[in-house]
Amino acid sequence: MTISGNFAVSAALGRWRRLQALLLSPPAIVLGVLVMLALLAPLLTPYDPVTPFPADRLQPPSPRHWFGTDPLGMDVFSRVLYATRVDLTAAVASVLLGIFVGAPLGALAGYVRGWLDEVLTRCTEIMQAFPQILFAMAIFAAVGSSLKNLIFILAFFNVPVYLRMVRSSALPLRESEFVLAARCAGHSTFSLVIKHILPNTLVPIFSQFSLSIAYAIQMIAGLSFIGLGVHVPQAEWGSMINLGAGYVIFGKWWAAFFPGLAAFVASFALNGLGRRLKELLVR
Amino acid sequence: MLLSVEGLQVEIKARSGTLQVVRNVTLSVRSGSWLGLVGESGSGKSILALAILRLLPPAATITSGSVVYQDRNLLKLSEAEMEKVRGQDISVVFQNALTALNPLFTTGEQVADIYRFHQRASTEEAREKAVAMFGALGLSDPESTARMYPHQLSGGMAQRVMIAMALLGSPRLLIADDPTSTLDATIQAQVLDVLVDQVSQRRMSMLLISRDIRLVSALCSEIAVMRAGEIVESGRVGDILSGPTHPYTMQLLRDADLKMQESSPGV
Amino acid sequence: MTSNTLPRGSTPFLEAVDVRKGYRVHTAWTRFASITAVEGVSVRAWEGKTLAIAGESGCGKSTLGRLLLGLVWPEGGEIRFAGYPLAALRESNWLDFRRSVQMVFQNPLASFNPMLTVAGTISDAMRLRNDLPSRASKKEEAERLASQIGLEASLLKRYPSEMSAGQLQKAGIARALATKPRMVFLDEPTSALDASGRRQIVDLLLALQSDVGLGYVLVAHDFHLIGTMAHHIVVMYLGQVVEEGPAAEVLRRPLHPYSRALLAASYVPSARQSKWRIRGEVAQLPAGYQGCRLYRRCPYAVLGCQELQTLVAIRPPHSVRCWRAAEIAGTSNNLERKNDRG
Repeated sequence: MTISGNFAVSAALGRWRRLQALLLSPPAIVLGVLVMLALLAPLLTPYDPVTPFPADRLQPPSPRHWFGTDPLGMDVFSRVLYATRVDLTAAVASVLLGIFVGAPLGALAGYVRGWLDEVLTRCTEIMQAFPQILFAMAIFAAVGSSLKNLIFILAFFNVPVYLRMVRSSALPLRESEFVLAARCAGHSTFSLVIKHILPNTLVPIFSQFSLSIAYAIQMIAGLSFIGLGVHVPQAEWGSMINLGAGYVIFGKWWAAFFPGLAAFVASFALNGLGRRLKELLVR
Repeated sequence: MLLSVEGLQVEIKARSGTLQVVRNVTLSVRSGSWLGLVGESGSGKSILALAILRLLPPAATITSGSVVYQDRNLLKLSEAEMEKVRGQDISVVFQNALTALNPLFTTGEQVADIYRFHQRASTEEAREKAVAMFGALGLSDPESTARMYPHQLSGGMAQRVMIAMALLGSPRLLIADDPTSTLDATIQAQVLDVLVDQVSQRRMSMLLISRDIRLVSALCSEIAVMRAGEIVESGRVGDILSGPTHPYTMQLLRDADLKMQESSPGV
Repeated sequence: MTSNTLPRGSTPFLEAVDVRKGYRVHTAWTRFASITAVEGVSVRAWEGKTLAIAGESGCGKSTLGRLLLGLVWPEGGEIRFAGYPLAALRESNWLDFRRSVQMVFQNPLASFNPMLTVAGTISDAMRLRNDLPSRASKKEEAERLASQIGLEASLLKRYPSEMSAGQLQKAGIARALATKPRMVFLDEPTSALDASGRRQIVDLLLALQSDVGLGYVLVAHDFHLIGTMAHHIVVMYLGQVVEEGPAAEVLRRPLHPYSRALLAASYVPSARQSKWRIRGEVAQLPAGYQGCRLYRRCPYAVLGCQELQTLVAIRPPHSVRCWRAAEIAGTSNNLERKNDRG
């Protein structure tokens, strides 16, 4: 067996091990913990996240309030946990929705080209030309402000990103020999795109995925700051940071720090997970 | 003996451990003679060439052995001394010229640069030398070829430019690593002709590395057969062809023996 | 008009009749150039026989392959399957055609979807088969194919990047056989392989031809391969057929200067024509030029070569597109005498 053949055998044996390594890797564990905390929030939090205690405003971290209290007297720890639900769900759901709509369309556009490609590309250009916050405001004004609508709007912003990305991965695949082979096997355009083109465009999606989620968390924060999407006093990292940011200068750092830390940890873990998933996929 | 490699070992560090890619290789090239190194992909022959020139990638290390060129052990030289050796004493032609050439500079500039690195010459002189060499290698319009960028060249032209770069410093030894296998048949024939012509005109020695035992036996006086990092057999071409002793050599000779039939099937 | 060659049965299984196909290439912002990849090409392939198409890059063999497989449509002329024009085939007959003609690709690694296992790809190739309803039956069939071609069943579970080129090319042949075709288009099947890999593939292909009666259209530039497999040879240069005839004829006495150069380039030391070279590189010729396309590179070129050249049967069924071919080869008298003797 040649030298490259030896490498190949050890690579094959390692794939299962790599999957195990992925599931036990730090980012995966951290995310797992976050998800657990979010799911078990009602059991773990001593206080109701939206009940203010005016007497205990801006208390520093203590055995009674692990993360202290915020300017309205609400327990920061409880709020951070409940906020994890909102932020993770909304961010992940919107990005996934954007991928599930954008990626197949992108693969189709990149493979088929012609007028379909032109139309879709022009659509993505129009979608990306809008200033996002203003657009969100307009849509919220029209259909009402809720978590569900928030997810749809964020998904809308993600669709063109993934459409273009998958399209540019699909373009060179048109001429590749395995696509020709699939045509010889009798694939219709549609089945070819789904079975052969799309899976080969996954790699850049994984890199972009974690960035999109981090960006989505920011967008949620920005929108809730102006009162759209998630309303104060409902717990959400971004709005908590905005609530507590003004007090940092007075030395009351905890109200903004802990939600910020949570957002940071979530983004970082997602980033690491995305990178490892990419490595696992690359053959 | 112009070049003498003794007991050379090269290791590569990979994720799954270290791999011996060159195992205890001993071979030699006499002044003025051509040695053919034959092996399949993965046999380690390209790594061997890179090791001789000390151009190995970072993951590979030479763990033991010596490479003696004209009484100097190349493995003991400093990088600066080695740079003088490359191009002037020993030069190399790689398999794929388009990846070996810098896409940002014209071919004339690149070749002239090499010349100026080794000889003290003015830009003008170096350029003239480059153009003259292009002409000698059969490039049909040397002046305009010198003004082209690598991506504008065809495979055959690019390979000739690489040969020009290798020969301009007047080295004594040329290492040619599969120099024509990426080219079309008729172009391959042309480029090989030109390479053989120039190398014999200059009375240079050559280490010709190839996967094609027919090519090597037709051109070289001596041959070494490499497999999985080891030299399994070596000697004069005539001896090896008429009486191979190692089973792998015999297998290579059998596999290459796809004769052109006098009468084809079915007629 | 070209002459007919050794038919086994009167209708060729697959044939191209005077096909033309060009491409438009973007040269500037609003300008396109038309490149004719294939011009006035007619070839015939029979079941159980091997038609070899010899030529280098730019000769149009890949385009011809795509035309013959119905993957692209010709601008002029037509492709016929068992005598019927492809364009006229109805749905069920079209599927029949798809099943009957398959392809083996030059670069095995590029011809497999990197995201699927080899077994997955071979099973995928069985889409058009009616007799394998379940996934399990497809898997069984894939294993049977693998053993038929001498590939270990355990290799089927691997991904393409985990196999050697030789093994993967065998898998490529198994994939081509998955639809039980009658004819396989072999696009430089061994040029990406080492000598030992090459040997195995050639042996396998020859065995399949004699056991199963497969017909081949073999595209190659290596005359060793062509000599071993071909019954009939067509030489192409820059989109045209420049010579065609029975394999033995073309190999023994190539008439067109390009064929001679191609043969000589396979450096078989015993060939009389070794060291026979043409100069220069393949270059696109000016639009509207009708003369011999080898003109700039041919050592025998004279002014008359710029006139329109047609395929002429010098020694039927051996034809060549060169008005000086007989002259170059020796006197025409000698050729005629040889023909009489059969």
